[in-house]
Amino acid sequence: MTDTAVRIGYMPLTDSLPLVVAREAGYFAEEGLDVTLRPEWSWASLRDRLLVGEVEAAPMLAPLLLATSLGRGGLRRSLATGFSMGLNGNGITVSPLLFHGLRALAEGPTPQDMALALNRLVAARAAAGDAPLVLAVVFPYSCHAYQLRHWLAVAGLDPDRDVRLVVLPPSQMVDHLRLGHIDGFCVGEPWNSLAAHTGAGHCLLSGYQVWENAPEKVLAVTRDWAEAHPETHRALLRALHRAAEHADRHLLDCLDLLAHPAWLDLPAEVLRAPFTQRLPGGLVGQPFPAHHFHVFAGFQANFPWRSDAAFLLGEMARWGQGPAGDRAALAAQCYRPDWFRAALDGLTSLPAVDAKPEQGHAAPWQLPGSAGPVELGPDRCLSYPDTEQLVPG
Amino acid sequence: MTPNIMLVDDQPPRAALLERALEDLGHGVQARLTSAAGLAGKVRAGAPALVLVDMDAPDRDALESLALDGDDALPRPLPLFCDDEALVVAALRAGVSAYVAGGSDPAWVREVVAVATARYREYRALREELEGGVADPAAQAQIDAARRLLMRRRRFNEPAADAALRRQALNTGQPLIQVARSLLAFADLLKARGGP
Repeated sequence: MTDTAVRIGYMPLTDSLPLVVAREAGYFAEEGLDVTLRPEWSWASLRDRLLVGEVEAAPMLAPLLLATSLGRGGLRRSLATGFSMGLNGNGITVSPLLFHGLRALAEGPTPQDMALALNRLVAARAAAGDAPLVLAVVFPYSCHAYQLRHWLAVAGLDPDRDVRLVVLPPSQMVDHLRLGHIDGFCVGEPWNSLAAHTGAGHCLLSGYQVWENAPEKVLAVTRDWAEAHPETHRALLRALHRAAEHADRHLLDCLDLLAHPAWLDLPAEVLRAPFTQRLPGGLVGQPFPAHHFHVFAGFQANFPWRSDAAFLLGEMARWGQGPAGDRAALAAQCYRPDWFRAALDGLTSLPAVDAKPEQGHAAPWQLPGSAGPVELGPDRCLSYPDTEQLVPG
Repeated sequence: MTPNIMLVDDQPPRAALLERALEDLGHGVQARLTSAAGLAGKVRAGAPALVLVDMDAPDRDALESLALDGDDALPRPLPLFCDDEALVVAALRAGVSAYVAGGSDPAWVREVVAVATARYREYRALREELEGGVADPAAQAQIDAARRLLMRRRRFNEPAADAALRRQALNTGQPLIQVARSLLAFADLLKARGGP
């Protein structure tokens, strides 16, 4: 391998767009990189290929990077990231049967109303002796899992007791929903749009409604590789950041490219749906606003915030996935804003701090930056409804 | 009681080769699945001591999630079971991943994983040979002769004759040149006896 050859493993999803744009629009080539993109079909194989050195980098579920560094599945190696792949992109989709059940019980259209309806529906099923609802995610260590769990918590439910959570490959979600093996899922695009497009399901909530401008995937590398090839790594981050900016600017054209048989091989209208007000949402089918879905570069989407790592480690702890030990140290070891800064120095205004001070902004807000203020997006989490309305579990 | 092994592989010839190799060494194969669909449920029901699964099977993530159930009888990823990094890396490079139930005998696990690694590696080499062509011109000439023989005798067109040779190679675990040689030798034998 020459120092400019980089193999990148990826799961074929809408959020792999910056990789495809970097290849097709020439950003890898402009940085002198010879990149091979290698599709993977499970998060486990993507992780394993990175760990044994069959690929040098891979967009990975952010919590999986943290879990792997904790030795929770694959070989124990220090994984780290200097680049976040973007914000948002997930949705919670349910079967037509569950959708109609919730619609009959809901008193209003908000996420809280739907949560209360779910609470009532789960209680009624339990009282009738019916089997618990089965809800799927793609991996236990994922933002999808934590967003679904948070919504269930908002509904006053215990995700580990009141429903059955299962893991399925993303490419099979829609089929399992259609066949009635599962009642719903939380997964990334394009699978929510494909379920809606084929009539297999209804998208109830965007991930944005659960966590606004949520972190999702990060470009994972082994620390050993990044330290041995700093120039190549920086060139890779620059190419991806420029491709992400390109994707934000020319989103629909880029999605058409991604729809091509060489990449996702799906109808372009399915990939475009969430960005063109064609993905009906909630119980009344009001299309989601485009800003509920992917942000590839805006709002400092590519900056590997230490506060994101701390937040996700907090979610892992909240749901009984550990981790014991010093969370701040782990966050600092795995999230490397210094790598991002070294790569993008002088090319863009960089935030003055490595951690966002707080969550809870209802509107875009600013932080001081190296060349003028930088803008960040709203970042509230879905709040709990008036708990008196919840049926005790 | 011999601990049970579950093989999950969408390439039946490879799974058959591996099963034979394991049984020759006295290891019991409980189930051979060609599809990983519903794997987590099958593993819960069958309670194998060891699951060997094609590294690229999409349902691996469901297996990974079993490790979070806190039930020691359910198989967990090999690296959580043993510290032998060389064993794990070799298996993954060969394309096979392993999940091990708590309480399994480490020496037994090591042996079975090593056998699987060797078979996967052999099978991959075979496939690469089949896909990449043969470097040795003499060997290539024999393979061409075997192909012509099939086209003449069985009225195959060229792609069908090629496919038949490859299938035979994968099914028997022999290199393509070996298959071609046995086919030509068998034809010579028939000719010597005055056959067709």
